[in-house]
Amino acid sequence: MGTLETSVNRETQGALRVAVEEGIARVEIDLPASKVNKLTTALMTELEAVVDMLAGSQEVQAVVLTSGKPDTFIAGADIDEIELLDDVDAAREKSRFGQRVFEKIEHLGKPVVAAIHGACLGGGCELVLACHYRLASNDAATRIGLPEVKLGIVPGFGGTQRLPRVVGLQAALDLILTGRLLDARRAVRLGLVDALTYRGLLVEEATRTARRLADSGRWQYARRARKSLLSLPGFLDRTALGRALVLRGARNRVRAQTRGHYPAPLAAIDAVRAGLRRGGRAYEREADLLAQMAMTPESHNLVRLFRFTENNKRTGNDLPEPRAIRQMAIVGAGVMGGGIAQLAAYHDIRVRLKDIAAEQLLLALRTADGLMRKAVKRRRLDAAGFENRMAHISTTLDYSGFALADVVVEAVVEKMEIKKSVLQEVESHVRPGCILATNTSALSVTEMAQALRDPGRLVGMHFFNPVHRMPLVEVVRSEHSRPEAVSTVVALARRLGKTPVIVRDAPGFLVNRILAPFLNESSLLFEEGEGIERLDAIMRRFGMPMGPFELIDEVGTDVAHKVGVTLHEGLGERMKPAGLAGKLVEAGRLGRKGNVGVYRYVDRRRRPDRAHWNTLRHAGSTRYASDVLLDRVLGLMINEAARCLEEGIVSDARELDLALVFGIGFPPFRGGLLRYADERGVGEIVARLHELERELGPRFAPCEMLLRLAADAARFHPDRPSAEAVE
Amino acid sequence: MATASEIAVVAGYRTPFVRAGTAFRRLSAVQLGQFVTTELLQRSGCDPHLVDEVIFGNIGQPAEATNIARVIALRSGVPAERPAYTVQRNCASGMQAITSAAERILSRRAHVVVAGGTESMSQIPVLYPLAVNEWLGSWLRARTLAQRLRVLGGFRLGLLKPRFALEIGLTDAYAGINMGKTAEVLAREFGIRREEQDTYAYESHRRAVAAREKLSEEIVPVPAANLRERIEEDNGPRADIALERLARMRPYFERRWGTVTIGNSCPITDGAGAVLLMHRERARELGYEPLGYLRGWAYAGLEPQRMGLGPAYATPAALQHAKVRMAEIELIELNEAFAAQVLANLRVFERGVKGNGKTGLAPIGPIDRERLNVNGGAIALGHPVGASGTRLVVTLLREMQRRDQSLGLATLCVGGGQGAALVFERN
Repeated sequence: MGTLETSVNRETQGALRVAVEEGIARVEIDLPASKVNKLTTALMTELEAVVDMLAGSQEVQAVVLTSGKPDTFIAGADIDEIELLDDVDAAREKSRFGQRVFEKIEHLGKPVVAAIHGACLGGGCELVLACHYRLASNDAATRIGLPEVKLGIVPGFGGTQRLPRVVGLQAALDLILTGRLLDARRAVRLGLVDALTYRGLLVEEATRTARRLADSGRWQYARRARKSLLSLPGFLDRTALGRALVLRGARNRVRAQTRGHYPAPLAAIDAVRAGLRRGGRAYEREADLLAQMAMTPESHNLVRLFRFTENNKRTGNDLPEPRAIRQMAIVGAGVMGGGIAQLAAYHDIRVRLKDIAAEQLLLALRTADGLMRKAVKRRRLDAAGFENRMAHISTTLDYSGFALADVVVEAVVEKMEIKKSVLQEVESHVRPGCILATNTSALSVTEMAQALRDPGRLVGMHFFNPVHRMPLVEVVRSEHSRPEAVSTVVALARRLGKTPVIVRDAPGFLVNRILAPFLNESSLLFEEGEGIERLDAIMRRFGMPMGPFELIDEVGTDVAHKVGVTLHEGLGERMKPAGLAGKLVEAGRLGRKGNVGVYRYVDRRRRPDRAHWNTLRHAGSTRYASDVLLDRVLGLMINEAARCLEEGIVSDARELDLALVFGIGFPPFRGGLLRYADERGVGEIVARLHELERELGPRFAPCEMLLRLAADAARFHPDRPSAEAVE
Repeated sequence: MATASEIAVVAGYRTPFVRAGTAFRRLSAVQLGQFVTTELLQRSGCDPHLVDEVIFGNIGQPAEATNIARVIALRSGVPAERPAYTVQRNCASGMQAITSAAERILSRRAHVVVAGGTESMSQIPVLYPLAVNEWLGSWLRARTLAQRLRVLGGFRLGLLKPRFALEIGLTDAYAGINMGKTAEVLAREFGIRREEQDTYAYESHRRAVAAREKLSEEIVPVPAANLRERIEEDNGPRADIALERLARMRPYFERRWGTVTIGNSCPITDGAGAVLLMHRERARELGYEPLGYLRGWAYAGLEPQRMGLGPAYATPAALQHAKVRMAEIELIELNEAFAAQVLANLRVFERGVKGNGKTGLAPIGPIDRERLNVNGGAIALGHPVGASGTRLVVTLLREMQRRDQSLGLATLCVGGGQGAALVFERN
């Protein structure tokens, strides 16, 4: 290492190490006491100082920027700092500062080469965009993108300005508006990265490139997307008309997809547009928009939710080490069992899949084959990976191979007696330490466990349909479940790429129990004379992915009915089901699967069925104000959620809100059901519930916890989540 | 021979044997081998982590899995740190895997070995003539336009003439004659008439059809490539087999004077089989009750033109290795490549064969048809060349178990002029 110029070489307590050798300065970013690199204010300040120093150095002819962390380049801005921003001016100032530092890099007067390996996200991506050459490792760990919109903000360090110049307007909008990340191969194809090399050669190659650029003197002309004016992408990028079309299209798409709930993507389009105008103050505009967005409740809620997912990674840490899972077995190759088998095979777990019908086994194999082929098409798997994973699934009509399983997931029909006898059979074929999991949405895991010789080995594992898409798994701890069994199922859920939430065994567990009033109160409202389509539309406008009746059809009226009955039996009168689901089942209208339920389905399109609806109720039509409808439905849900906390069904409000967002798609921009309650004010919710109780009966009676919180003027979540981040 | 009996065959399975070009045509030899290996381990409750080595026999050696045993091992969950290799002794490959495993176990280099054989004759490729290699090579080397034009000018339509690797593989490289012709050689040498061959073939089908239920015990069902059905049984045996139909078939290999027809030969077939081998001690530790023990074995060579007579040459050596007499053998599986070839072997077992410039053999005793291929043979079931050796062992041991017999012989003839013979015992 060159030590000629001690003023440039740095071995500091800070985050940046600088070493100069033969005129090339290598700047290594290594944030102390952190697993990943984040662009903290301190780091940015240090970076500015280093950049100034490099600019002034006679010796330094070119710069290589690299990371000292194993699998991250820079993971983005510091979330803690984003959360602490509490006024627009401070936020704008932060953005302007970042822009200034990056601008200094862009105008350093010497070539800067970014050597990227690992996650290069958000501010990290904006940093490399300000460099003159981007070299990345062709490693699976390398991911590049601008995911800011996922936190409800926009890129604020020049990303909205530089990305369109580098990859073209359309591609830039796609990346910024979806927040999706690129792997190395896609990044180079798009031009976001100039070249790829092997991880082990990265710094060496970057240094060589820096040398070459410095010697040639041609580095000022950093690569720009120059598409032919005559091609469609060229026309769209390089003519005013084309750009206007692209922006309008993007705006329309965003509006359609977000239904106006998410302001950040629209703000991002604004920032990008500002950069397309000549002589505009685009960077200022970007900073303004970032500052505005950082103050929105949507952003606060999305950031909270991100926190909840981070917090969830610690779920189960207090439990003993999970059993290693080399092989799992699944009983029941239906939609759930087959789905779980596919998921396990995809995540490299050997699966023995059993059913009593060969036809079901084949169907499960076909489904797995279809999903894996899709992964091949999306380049997530190569041909060998596909073959290897399909070979993980073997099928059987008997219990052969179960002796080798570390975990067995039972996914047979939802009938207590059948489940009990299947679990007993399973128990007689597995080895002593084998953990059993039952995939049930409504039955008592504790009761099932009592049928076993070793009740402690059984844990509930409630997947949501469709298995490969829904991120939540409720890990149901029965009264008997051994801690090791729970931790093994938590670990299994994680290996399958799911988010596990540990819940106590009680009717409906957590998610279905809170979901019940959503469906039931809506059904009662219908019976009072409300319109089905209106109720669905209002709930969707609130942000739910589906209205209650659409959802009933989706899960099946029979399933909805059964869950309703179970909850009524288990939790009493407040859960008394409306007549709707039962009547639909009687009429043989089982929902989407039979092409007719609440709605009719023609060519997979939903169609109203007013004639049938009129036969389902006697009352005439009513039309409550939409906030009355929302209060009735959401009030009950909040009340039920509070009861769940009260009864210790789930550890805390964070896990509860996370479960609802991941399990039923409760609108993320609202940050969760209890966060919504906090925002409305628990006092107000209680007041509304009291009113409704007087008007409509005791099902609205607020529970103890709500009353206590209201009396103390307290909240479910701390006001400033940063307070809990201090640990 | 005391040492050889240390090798326990703990379990054995095979896929259905399916005529080439039918239900398995879209399944590769790797897939067939992986299905049977996975099922072998799962059904016998043997954790793949206990397996020390995997050895597979295979003749076609697909380009996409050059060491097919290794690919099968990994896809079946055998840990990456356990080695695997592929053996090739033509039709004896599925037996070679077993005896190679036995040698590994006897030398204490491995305790638990999966040995098997797999073959997709459907997927044996069609090749271009060798000249294409040279032509493509010069095209890739051509730099200038003139050079390229010259190479293009050298193109001949003949370069596109396909060569069927299957047909080439079934032709003896040394003797220059097709396998069917070797059967004709034996038919002539031993005076085996057409009717006798047809009757033998008829009986093979009859027995295989009658044994369907028994055979299903050794078969693991395989999901078809389109995943729309499970293939559960061999599709070779014909319940409607009729002597008259067999008699009407034209000789295939020697049109004018021949006696060997498609009907009295084994069909081209896809399939795989595998056995789980352990040292006797290891099997006892793990609580297994083995199907049987390998007591002795031998391979022998003879003139490639008379390859069908391999069993007659290998068997005496194997009996000697196992220290048993032919009369003590209660059950025999002798591969049916051709009816003529089986019948020729029976004659040699009974009467011996004189030297006449060729290697001579003394008689070792007649073989009663009631202890030979009692569940039918390859003429009905088919002969996926690399897999048959393993199939014979599995079928033999399972039938010995049913009949509670203690000594059995599995033997087959090998293209290129060899014989293989394995002696098993139960106790």
